[in-house]
Amino acid sequence: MRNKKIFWLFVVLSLFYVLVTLFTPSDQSVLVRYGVSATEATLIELTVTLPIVAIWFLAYLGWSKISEYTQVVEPTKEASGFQKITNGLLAFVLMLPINSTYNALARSIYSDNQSLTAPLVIVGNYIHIAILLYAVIMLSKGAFELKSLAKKKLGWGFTNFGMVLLAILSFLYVYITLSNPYRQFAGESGTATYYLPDWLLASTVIFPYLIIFYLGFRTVQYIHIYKHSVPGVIYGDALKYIANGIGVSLIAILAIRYLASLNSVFEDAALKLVLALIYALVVLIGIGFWLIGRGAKKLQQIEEL
Amino acid sequence: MKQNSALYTQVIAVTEDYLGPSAKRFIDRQIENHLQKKPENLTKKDLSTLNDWIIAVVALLTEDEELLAEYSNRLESLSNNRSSKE
Repeated sequence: MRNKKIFWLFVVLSLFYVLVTLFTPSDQSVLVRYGVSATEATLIELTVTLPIVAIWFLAYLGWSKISEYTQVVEPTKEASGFQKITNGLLAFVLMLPINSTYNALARSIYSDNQSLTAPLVIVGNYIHIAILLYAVIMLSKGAFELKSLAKKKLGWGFTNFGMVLLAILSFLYVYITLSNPYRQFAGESGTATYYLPDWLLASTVIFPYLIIFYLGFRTVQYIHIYKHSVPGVIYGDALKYIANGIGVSLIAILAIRYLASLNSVFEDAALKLVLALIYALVVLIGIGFWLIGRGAKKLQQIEEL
Repeated sequence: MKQNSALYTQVIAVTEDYLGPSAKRFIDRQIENHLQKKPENLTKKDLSTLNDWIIAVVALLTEDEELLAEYSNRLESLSNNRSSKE
């Protein structure tokens, strides 16, 4: 019943997104930046929009499989952990159409009314942070509960190598974000990324993202500990898909954040490169959810056959 | 009854190596559905039939024939185990 409601919510959001994309006139500054006509811009947007919507549905399917599995194992000790993971993944899955639809709608509003650009961009950024934060909190709590059922602990190397990598990536994120010349004020063409002074940017955007990176990283670690410690060759095989799927989706979603911080690079980048990067990340999210769905389907078969 | 229960526990212990935390639920379902009896009442006589059902079902979950053969042999060896009398 719940899955059906989510499915219809997806259908409505997707249709809305496609319609907004089709009927919103392209930003003049973008047309000038890339040297394309309005019709060409709409066609280019469609080549991105339709595959993106297809990937959303792939993500929905992946989520619905793990949701079904969670219902099957409801009376077991793993249920609570899987339930939280399912809720976290639902936030991720819903974040995809909500963010894109909001951004498309915001663009159509501020293209007519420039004074609304800053508040709309700010609200969009905070919506993104709020959903991501909820998602990684639920995912890490669920993964932590599963890990607590396991007796094995991670080796020194795996834990600390991961932490060093996380520290480097976090440092790079802070550096890239704060060296973005268009973080508060827009350039001659385009919009600013945040429209916030540095102190507010650091405390309400960068800091939450560092927490998101940390919790995302811990989620992947916890779920891999569980995967390696839980007995059962066939069960572990199915779980491997879910663990890898969550890892891949998380990395892709967080990489998109990195790209947003690299807004200044896009000013001079070729359109093809920008499109290729978007395609690659969206496809990666799709692959992640496909892996999750495949693993969940296998686990469900174990419980139903 | 205690000995039967020991056999049941052994079947679950072997199955855990393949199906992890799902092992008990899986075995309970196979015994109840295919042998039409309570899991604790499993006897050595039932093992051969149960083994056939389990392997047929697990074959739907994995294509690894070596793994299936190993699992089947381990279940079969429980019939010869002295600690689990009929």
